[in-house]
Amino acid sequence: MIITSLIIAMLMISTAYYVLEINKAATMDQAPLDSTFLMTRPSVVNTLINSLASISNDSLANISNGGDSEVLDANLKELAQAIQNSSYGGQCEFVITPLNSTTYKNGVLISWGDNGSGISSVYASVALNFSDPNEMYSSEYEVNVTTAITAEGFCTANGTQESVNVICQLYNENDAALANNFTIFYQEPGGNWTPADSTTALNINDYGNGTYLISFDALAQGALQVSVGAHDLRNIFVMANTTCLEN
Amino acid sequence: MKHPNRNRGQIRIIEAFFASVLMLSTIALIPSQTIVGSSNDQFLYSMARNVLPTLDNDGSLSKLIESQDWATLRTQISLTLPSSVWFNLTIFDENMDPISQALISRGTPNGRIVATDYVCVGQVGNFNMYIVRLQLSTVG
Repeated sequence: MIITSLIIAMLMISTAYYVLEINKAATMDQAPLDSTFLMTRPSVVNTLINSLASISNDSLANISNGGDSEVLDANLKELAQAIQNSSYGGQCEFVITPLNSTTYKNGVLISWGDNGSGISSVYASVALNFSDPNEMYSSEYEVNVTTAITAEGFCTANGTQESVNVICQLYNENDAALANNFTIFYQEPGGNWTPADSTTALNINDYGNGTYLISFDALAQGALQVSVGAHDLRNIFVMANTTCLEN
Repeated sequence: MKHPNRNRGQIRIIEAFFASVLMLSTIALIPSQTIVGSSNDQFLYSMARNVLPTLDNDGSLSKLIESQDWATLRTQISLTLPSSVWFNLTIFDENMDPISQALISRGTPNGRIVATDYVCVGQVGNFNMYIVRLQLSTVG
């Protein structure tokens, strides 16, 4: 009787174990890996912000440079290594790839045009391939950090001067954003770029919603070129040039 | 005509079946207790994974680390976690040398401790990375 009961018990145990294993394989407990993977997102975003701040400020010093992506590449590699070392066991590959496209070169887009708009942006895709004896997991997400500015202005003749008004809007990832500071230049008739500051009655009116009205007096006649540069609160620099026509 | 031996054999098989059910139910009781323990671990682990990225969404975690404002950091984590949860936070630099000398902790742990590491990056200034280790348990 004991032998029979043992045989029946073993049969039942093996059936239960088989069903349990099938269920485990079906669900494969993806949720913890998903959330562990997604918890890396703020780190990646902060790395992109830090790198873009560095790249855009370097580009300000050397505008023809157009954005040196070496900083971004080095920072992303360092981050990927740190995350891979600290977060996962098993066979794990955590890769951050900067975007290469018609607009982004090695993940960086610095476009400070003369058409009244400027963009400083970085873009990268993040992928995780993980496997251990029990499971395989693969997932990816994309991260974009963008600071953009638009500038539009007009000027009014005021004796030998022009009173210039420029309306600026600042964006972080398409949402209105606040500026930390502005740098404004205008082009004199001789071609020199002159800073607009307190000596030119510079006034910046902050509407609190990412919109700024910048006004100053310029020693010029007629339409003039104005360059508006801004640091956002993340220290990312962006610039736009616009032509202010006379009212 | 009845065969007493055959009946006895059938009864033995039924007995064996019940005996095996008894054995199985005894076996089934043992893992059910460990499941309770591991589901609590999963709950704590899930919390640990969410707390630090949430604090770091606007870059405030790295700012607190860089300014070494451990008191504010402790308060922010305390506010995020239920009062029944014990925590201990340790911050390391890239070489895994601890940089937080103060004890960033609350309560006394009771039972198993779960831990998660989070890589934190500063938004502003030099590119600095910190490994933030959060340990959670139930309060003793």
